Amino acid sequence: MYKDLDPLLHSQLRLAIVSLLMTSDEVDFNLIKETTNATSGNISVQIKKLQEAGYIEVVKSFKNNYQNTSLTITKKGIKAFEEYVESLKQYLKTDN
Amino acid sequence: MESKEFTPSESLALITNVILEAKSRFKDNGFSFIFIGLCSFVASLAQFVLLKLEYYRIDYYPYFIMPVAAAVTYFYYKKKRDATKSKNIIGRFISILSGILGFNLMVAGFFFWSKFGIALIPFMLILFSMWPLMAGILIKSRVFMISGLVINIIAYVSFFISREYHPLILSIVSLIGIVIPGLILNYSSKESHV
Repeated sequence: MYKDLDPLLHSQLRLAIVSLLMTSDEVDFNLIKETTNATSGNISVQIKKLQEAGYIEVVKSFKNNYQNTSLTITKKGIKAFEEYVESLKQYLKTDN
Repeated sequence: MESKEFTPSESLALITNVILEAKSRFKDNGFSFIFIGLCSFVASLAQFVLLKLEYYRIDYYPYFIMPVAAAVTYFYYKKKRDATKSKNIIGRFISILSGILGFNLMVAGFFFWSKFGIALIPFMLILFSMWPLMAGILIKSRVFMISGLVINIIAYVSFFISREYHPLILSIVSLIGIVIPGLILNYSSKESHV
């Protein structure tokens, strides 16, 4: 339906993840869970898709003896997000 | 939240919500400004009183609370940063800048006070002004930007004021230029969470 919109970003959960990453250098998996209220499984699937597209990078480490997954956005991801927002603006302009 | 498709306006609303939520999470509660400002107020006022009472040999003793205050602030923000589950470049920059300024203030005050002579407190005020000024620019707070500029001006004006009143100037600046903007930040941070 919305041809110009990046299909990878035009999905609620993936867009929420990328938007969150746009506000920070590094975001914990738990923060994504808290912000989106999505299940861990669903988030993991979406993260994998974004990672495969080269939009984000996943860093696994240990924090206080627990495994910690944190995400960062890549340059490609930032560019894709900016283009997505630009396309959104165009759609909203034509709608009005 | 599901991974379904949605309209452009829904999409824009989602981006706005996530960014606003992140912004409120990063909002500083002004702890460092209130705490460091109060410690500096107490220390400099105590020095002024000691000088007035002619305790010239120990007049700098009250400033020994400043390294303790810096350590408390460091551990407070370290704990807070660990709890936020995210890292932000602005927050990191402000904390690094605060650390560098605090270190230079202490080195100048404790080890180079005799070299600076009358310029010590004005120099410290110039460094001090950078803290609210830079923080104000980065977090887009007019109160901090103005207080930074005012401290900067007072720093240069203090060159023309008798040296014995310099600690009093520092205490007034700490209270008005650091503590009060910190309290305003704390108030607005609480308001945004209501």
